[in-house]
Amino acid sequence: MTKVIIISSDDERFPVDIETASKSLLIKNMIADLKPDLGDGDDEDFEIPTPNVRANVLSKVLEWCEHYKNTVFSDEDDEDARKSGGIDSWDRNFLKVDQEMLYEITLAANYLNIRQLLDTGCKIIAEMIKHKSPEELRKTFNIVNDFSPEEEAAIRKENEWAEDR
Amino acid sequence: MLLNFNAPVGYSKKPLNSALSTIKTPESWVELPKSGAFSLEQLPTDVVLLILRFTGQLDVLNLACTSSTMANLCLCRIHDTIIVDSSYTPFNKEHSLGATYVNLLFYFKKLLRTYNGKYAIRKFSVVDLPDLFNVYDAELNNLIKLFLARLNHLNELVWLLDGFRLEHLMQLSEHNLSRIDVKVYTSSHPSETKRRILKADFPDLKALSLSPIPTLRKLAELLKEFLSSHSTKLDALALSRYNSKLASFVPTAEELSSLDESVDTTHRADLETDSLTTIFETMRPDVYGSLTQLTLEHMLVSFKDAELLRASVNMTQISLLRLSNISEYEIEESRLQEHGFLGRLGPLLVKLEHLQLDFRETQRDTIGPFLRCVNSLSSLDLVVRMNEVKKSHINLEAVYLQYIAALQKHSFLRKLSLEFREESQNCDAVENAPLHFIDNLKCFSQLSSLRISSGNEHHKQRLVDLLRHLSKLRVLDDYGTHAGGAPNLGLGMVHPNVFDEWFKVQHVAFLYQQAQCQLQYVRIKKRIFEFEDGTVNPRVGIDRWFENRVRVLNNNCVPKGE
Repeated sequence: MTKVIIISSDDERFPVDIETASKSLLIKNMIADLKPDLGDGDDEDFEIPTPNVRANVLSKVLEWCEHYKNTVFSDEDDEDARKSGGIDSWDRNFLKVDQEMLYEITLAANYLNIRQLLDTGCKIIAEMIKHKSPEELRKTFNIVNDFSPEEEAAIRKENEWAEDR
Repeated sequence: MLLNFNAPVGYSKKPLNSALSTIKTPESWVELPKSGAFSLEQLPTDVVLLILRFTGQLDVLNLACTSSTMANLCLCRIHDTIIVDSSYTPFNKEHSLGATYVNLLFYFKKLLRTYNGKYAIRKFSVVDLPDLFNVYDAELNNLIKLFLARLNHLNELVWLLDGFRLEHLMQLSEHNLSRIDVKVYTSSHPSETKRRILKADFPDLKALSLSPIPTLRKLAELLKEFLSSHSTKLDALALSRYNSKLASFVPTAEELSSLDESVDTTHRADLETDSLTTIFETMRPDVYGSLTQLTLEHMLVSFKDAELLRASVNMTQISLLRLSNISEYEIEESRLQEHGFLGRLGPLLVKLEHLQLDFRETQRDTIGPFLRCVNSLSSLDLVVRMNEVKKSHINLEAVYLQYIAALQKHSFLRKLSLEFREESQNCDAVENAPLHFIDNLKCFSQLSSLRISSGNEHHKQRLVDLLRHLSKLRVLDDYGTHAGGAPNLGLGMVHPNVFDEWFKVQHVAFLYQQAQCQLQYVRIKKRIFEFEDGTVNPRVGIDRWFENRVRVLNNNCVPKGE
């Protein structure tokens, strides 16, 4: 069976079937543009380099694609529904990784154009932001404070109108 | 199977015989192990902005206080889309996370006073003004005027409540608005009639929605003001002659059936039958040449208007059509067998996806044949109107059978709203959906939202049977005065509280959920419930969101790419 070989930035090769690879819109479009007859009796494998994605990250992303290869995601034109939708429990467990890996998976999903994985990664990071003070946020996300207390207070005051209660 | 329409429901929001626990496990806090010194600031801007679109506004504000880099990104997100809505609460997940809401007059005034234009506001919507807001308050109007003058990058302006003064638009220094949806302030006061004509032009305008427009002269004036730019080509147009909340049935069914003979010339002039002529003959034809969405509300039309519409708009490109409270007049006896307004448009609507149709006729009913010849729809919001004059000219049963046959063509509908109304001399009232209509909806297996009126227990029984067949249904609206049947007063009488109205019908909500376990939201007699893990929770403050889910409206179909 014809495979798509996805090559990571550190030259590791990941052979996957077309359905799995096509979860990435970038790869799907590449196949459609460069190798439209792939899988129609053409036995030659198709190699796609991903110079921005490390092997351990690519392996995780492809695990996600394999899990959802038979799932047809709705178009979800409705932006609000997309944003308010919850996180699937499988996804939540799948993304129980350290912060750096979570960022890298999210970045890879962005690069490979896998919208559902990108949304899930962003939602998990958004949950980490939830209900934290600025100081806690700095600690969680390694943010260096370059504000004086007055500047911080000024930001708060100027945007007080947005503080829903 | 005998159904219990009055089963008791406890405070646990479950039937009393249910043994399930009501205590929910709180969602675990997300705390991922940290590794290295990778910072959120190192993520690309587009990814951080996407994360912020999934983050509530108060959390974004906290993040803005962490560093200057984060402040820049967070304040862009905070200002990008602002919605003034007094019904907003951070506890309703249905509200859009990517927008910033203002729900109190205090904060609204603060925004008006403190906004300095540093961060671009691209979408500004006023959907429900905070309490105590007085549109006639000169000071507040002045604040709004000064605020609008600072909106240099505004793309969309929505003002859904009465009282938007068009003079405010003159304050916008750069007119790159692509969407304007306003309820225009109109007054017969002499000072108002001398209002200056807008000097602005809107070359990028793609979607225009105006209401109410009480006279044809005003209609022509407004269109000239908004569409005068030579490069304006609209994608979406919505015009309503009157405020949608007013059910105006002028003329009456009797007058409508003989508008030529019985109504004297003066009265006829008052009725203003030339709305479409004014809309389509006032402006250059290319303004409407690329329309894909068209809404006309509260207007009188004749078959000649259909010809005008065909000549002015490329009807084959229309994907959303809303004809609401449109009355057809001028049907001569000899023309009864010919195609009317709808009949002339139907065959052209090959790309139609979303249709709202509330069309008044008196001597015939052309809606069934119209529905049969339009493209297969994905959303349909149909109001079936009957009046005494119409009933004397048609065979009601035969017409309903025509409707049912026509609806079968649209069996892939995802959204369906069916409303039956009976007009009398001065008002109209909701009727229950005929039983054979309910029975014939069983093949609509793709439906995710349904709005229907069920009245007595027979109707409810049929509705429950129907729900068992609709496995993709997520949202149900059972409306009308008899929706929910006899109220269950058990708990409400003993412990009166704010949810009394919910207590009266929540047993019916359970009944519907038992019939279709995939249901997520049910509205019964204007009371919304959400199902979650076997419990039914009363919901408040999401009426507008719910209405968008079950009806075909303008604001849930904004042109793509805007």
